[in-house]
Amino acid sequence: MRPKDRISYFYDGDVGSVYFGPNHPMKPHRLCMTHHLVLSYELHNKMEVYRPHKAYPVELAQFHSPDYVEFLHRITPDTQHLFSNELAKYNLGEDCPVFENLFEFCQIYAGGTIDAARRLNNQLCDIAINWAGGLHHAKKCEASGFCYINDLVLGILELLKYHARVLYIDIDVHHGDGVEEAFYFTDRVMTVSFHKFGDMFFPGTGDVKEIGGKEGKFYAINVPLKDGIDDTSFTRLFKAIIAKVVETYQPGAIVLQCGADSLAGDRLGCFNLSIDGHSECVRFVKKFNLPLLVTGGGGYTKENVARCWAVETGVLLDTELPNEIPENEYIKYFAPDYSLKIPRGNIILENLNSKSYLSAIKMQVFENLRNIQHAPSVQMQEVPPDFYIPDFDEDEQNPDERMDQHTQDKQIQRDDEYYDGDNDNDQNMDDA
Amino acid sequence: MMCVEDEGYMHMDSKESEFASVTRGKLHDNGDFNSRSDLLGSTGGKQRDGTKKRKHYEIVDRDSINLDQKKNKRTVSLADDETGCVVAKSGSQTSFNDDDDNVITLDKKVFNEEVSHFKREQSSFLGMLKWLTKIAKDPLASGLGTLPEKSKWKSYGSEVLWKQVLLARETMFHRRDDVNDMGTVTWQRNQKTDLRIYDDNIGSSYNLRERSKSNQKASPREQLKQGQAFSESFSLSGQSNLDKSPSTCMARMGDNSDEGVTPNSSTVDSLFPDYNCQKVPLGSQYQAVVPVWKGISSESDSKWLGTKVWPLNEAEKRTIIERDPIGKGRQDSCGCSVLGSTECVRFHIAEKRLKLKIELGSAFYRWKLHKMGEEVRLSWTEEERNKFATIMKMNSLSQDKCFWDQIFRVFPRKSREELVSYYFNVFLLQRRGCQNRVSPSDINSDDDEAETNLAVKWGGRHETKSTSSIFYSPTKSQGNSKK
Repeated sequence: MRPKDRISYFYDGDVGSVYFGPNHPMKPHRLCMTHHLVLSYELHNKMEVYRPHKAYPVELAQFHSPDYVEFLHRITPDTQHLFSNELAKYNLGEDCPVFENLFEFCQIYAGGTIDAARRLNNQLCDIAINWAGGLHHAKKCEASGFCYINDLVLGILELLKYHARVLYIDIDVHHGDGVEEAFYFTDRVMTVSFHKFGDMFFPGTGDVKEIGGKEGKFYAINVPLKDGIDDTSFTRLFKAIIAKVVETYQPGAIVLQCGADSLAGDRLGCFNLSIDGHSECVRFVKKFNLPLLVTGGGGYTKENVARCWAVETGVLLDTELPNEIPENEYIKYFAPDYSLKIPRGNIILENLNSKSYLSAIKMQVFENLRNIQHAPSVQMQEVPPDFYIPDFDEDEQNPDERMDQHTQDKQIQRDDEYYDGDNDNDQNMDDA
Repeated sequence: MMCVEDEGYMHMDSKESEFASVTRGKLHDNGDFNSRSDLLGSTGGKQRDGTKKRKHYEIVDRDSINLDQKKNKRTVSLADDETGCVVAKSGSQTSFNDDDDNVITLDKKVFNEEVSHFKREQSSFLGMLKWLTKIAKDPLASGLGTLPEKSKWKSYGSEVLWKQVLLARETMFHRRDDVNDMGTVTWQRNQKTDLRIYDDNIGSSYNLRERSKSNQKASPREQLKQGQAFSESFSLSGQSNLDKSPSTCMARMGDNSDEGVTPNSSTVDSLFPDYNCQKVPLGSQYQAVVPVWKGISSESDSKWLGTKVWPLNEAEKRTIIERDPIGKGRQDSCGCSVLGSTECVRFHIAEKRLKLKIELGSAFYRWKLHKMGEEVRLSWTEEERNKFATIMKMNSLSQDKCFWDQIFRVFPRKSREELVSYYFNVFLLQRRGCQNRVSPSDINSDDDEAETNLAVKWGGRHETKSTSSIFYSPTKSQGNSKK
């Protein structure tokens, strides 16, 4: 039996007071609520809780462009009106507003993921959790979709120091475009994203045909889905694909982005997953027993986010949580049932993902995976020692000189010429 | 045609290219396809028929042609040559009506100027054609020159033959769709997908300079990407793609028609099923730097691994407290006189908080738990709390939520952090408490900021939002309307 997993959980008390601004759906306060639930279920007694260091600008610049990092560092709500060009250049100000302590917030959540990766590298834990991280839309030189710094890319780069191949899985309702783009042309990172696609849903990328390029061709997998996908369909598809991916790609470590906006009732999402379905995916990935870095991500109905990530913390700790939420400071948020189950909404979402559609997507993905089955550029198997050695020196032959047929025939290699056993296979040859 | 290995993106600077700046977004409009295609269909023949001479537009007086154009640019096809090239000018020299009745008017005088200009260019087209024919016959012939890396294409003007070919190809494919008789269906499907690209504010990827002048929301990169998406779907990328099994592609196409898959710009490659649709830009501005794997050579910095907050270190573990078992849920029975009353709830929360405080020790403070919940409420005077509540009540009726301005004004001595903390820890919780009691089945936790119709709201403020904003979620507005 496998010894119990050691879990490192990252949390910074300052993150709860971060405020994007009025009317903005991203509420870091949800992290506070998550932490409260975790504490109220006593889960902290099964793991180690760390406060991450605040990532230095130079660490952030391991991926991001230095001038973008510098701008994030210096810009404040009071001075932003002076920098309208730069704001536009870096895509700040709309979806990604400039607010107080913006840079510190980035340092905290990025520091969490980087520290998590380092702990995994140093084998100080088997699973590392940073619910504050998972901001997968941020690009190298610009912010996007409420994400400023892409902590996932930074974490993966850290993991790549110790692992030849890293697998990235994204179950946020939005396509993990920032991470995919960063690693689109390399085979050292395989990115797999399950997301809503179509109807001009943000960010607009993530079609099944996006499979990577150059050396990274076939190392990006996209599973575009339609509205209303339910637990059964999603988990079935997820397990089938991820099983195949892990088997084919054989990563050294896995990074799992658990965006909770794929849950039913999310204000920006449009799936119909329950917390059971969502956490089933986490459970499945954990079973591979690979170093695992788990992050948060989207999630805009904060009670459901807190429920989901508390349950998934439990899953990672092999602890099933009873539905009745224990008393805690934020218990009122979980009315009326004060339960871990997502309250039933008024709208019943229709599942627009037909069986045949999902089957087609799956086939497509498998088809693409076949291309990397036997031809990895990053070696997966050892080169077998008994490779073919010609008994004539091809280099010495003059290619311009025609060989007669007889000589040519002599150079034909029999399939069983090199034999395993004691007996050679010549007895059966007619012209021996 | 040439096969290009590199999969980058092509930026065409319209000002550099006198030959053909195709302004993509201009001719396309949701509702206007039919009028345009009629126009083109009636005059045009097959695009690829090299021998036909044809005009693509009737040049008439100002008021007669109906074509929608959005950005004071237009594509005028004066093709009298064999390739059906499109000639357009950047920086419009003709005047256009930008109004809504979809009128494009060509000033006759200016048009004639362009015709003569075009005729001068005809000879250069012939030269290009000859070169192209040579390549087609023998791609490896010496003296034909090489194609530079895709990312460098933009720096070349149309003085080089290969650039002319690329531009022509671009144009041709663009035009081909217009007169695709196979289907309005096919086109409309593609049309639907390409909406994103042809979106008003996003416009053409080739008008980068124009774009940055105006105060558009979409970043240049966004446009480039989207414009590139379109061009990429037509681009020939690498030999390896031609090896792809056609059966896969057919299956894909089949699926698309069966399922009515919401098409995207990659569906356009149903015309060219073997081509890898790529929208991801390539370059040092986009990708992470991934070193080659050489085994574990680099040391992962073991200095910054996070500071342990829990479990407490040995010196602190002095207090022994009866702990609840891990994963214990809420108990249904308690010793309170009235179960579930405000007092009961308050009591149990306080009890829990105390337990946690003792158990966690220093961690309680490091996690800022002392600044949450009831503690916050107690640190405010009753007068302050009432003031806060009044402001919130007044603002709840107004559409434009900016209560924070008022809050900051009324509480000058409280820090922003304190105010935000009060908002989340006291005000919202109280409100939720009321909601729970009054209307337990109809709770909208984030309704406090009047965000019910987020999509509508943001849609109004940012007309340009499509996939460029994570706020915009078409399904949400539908969902809300069902309510």
